[in-house]
Amino acid sequence: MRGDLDFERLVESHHGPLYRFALSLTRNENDAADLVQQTFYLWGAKGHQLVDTSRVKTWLFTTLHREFLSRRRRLTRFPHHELEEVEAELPDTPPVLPDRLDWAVLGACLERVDPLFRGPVALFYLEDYAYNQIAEILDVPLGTVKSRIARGIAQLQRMLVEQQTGPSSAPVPAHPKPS
Amino acid sequence: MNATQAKHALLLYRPRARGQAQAEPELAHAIEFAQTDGAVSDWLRRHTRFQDTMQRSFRELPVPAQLTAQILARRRIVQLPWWRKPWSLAAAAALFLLVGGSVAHWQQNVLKAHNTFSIFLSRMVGNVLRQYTMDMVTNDTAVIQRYLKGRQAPSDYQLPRGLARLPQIGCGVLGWGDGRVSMICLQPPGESILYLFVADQAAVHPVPPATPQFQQVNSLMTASWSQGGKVYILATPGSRESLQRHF
Repeated sequence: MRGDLDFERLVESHHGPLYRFALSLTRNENDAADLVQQTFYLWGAKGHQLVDTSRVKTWLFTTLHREFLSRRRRLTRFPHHELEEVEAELPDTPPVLPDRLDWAVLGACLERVDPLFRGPVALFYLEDYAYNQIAEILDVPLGTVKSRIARGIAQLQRMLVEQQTGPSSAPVPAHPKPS
Repeated sequence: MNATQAKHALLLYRPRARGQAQAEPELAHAIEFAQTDGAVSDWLRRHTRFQDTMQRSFRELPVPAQLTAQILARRRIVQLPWWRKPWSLAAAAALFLLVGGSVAHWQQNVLKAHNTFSIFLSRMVGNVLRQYTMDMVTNDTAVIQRYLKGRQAPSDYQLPRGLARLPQIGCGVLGWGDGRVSMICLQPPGESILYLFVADQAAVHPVPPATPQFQQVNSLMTASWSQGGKVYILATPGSRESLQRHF
């Protein structure tokens, strides 16, 4: 299978989206580049085990996310979040934004988003994946993925509203950060 | 469905995703609701703009220009064990014949050109900067060595006299390619923690010399050296002098 795939073309096609996903997870350029390199390294070592060539991109995203998690060495069992909890986080009105946010603003917001929500939200915006594909990449149930995306978006909206109007009295709910 | 429920459902609405509304009845109901409720309709208009901006912002995050080259360089390095490639035999045999007796020289040059040790160094420093947690916290050197050995990580490391005197406070095991790297944390009295990384010499090229080489990497000062078939990296947030006094 790998014989059919030109590694350089594979890198050229996917390194950008993978880097952006990694940056969204790590918020650090060096760590993101390192994660992407490791992902392609693992492709070089294990990619031939993938039978279905149409799943290469999903494989790369899945591998990058697993690598990220293994580096984070999660020690905390993450709680399951219900969609209803969004209510506490959603501002009354979505913020009005410029055409594009630069990394300084986006990175600062992601820094404050619950770490559990960063991966789902990044994949939601970066790729046109269906929710079940995002669930597969992140290895969590479908309902959980939807809930995390919704809550992540709500947190982002709230932060950006606060940036524009000053902080509100109710804090963004925080969950234990994995060490 | 009320306005709050509609907003919840619409949070996940991707206007440009074809067929999303048809595939998700709750979303379809929420869109219908928005068409009959002025406030939700306004909210949805702003939310759609927000989604557009966020999608554009994520998708246009700048990617470092040198990243492709770095990935390809590392790929060339890991390709060196040719027998592991699926298409290997014919191509590898041809390559072997072509390169012939100068394989070692060629290999050395390729590796030098891509400077894998600097990537290794950068990775290890990255681990420290990510506030990497120790797998095990203990002052017992024997326990640390047993732990590392049990995980096929280098455990028979030999420390310079100054370092050997310092209390070890814990350890961890990291991956590098197909191999393992030992991380041993040492605590000099009244100073910052020292992070010692130990890998087999075969895992990196070119190996640093036996005399410690000092180098600032990101915000850490590092010392790198080789001894007894192992490569060592010592990293600290402290100064070069704070490292030097341990050798």
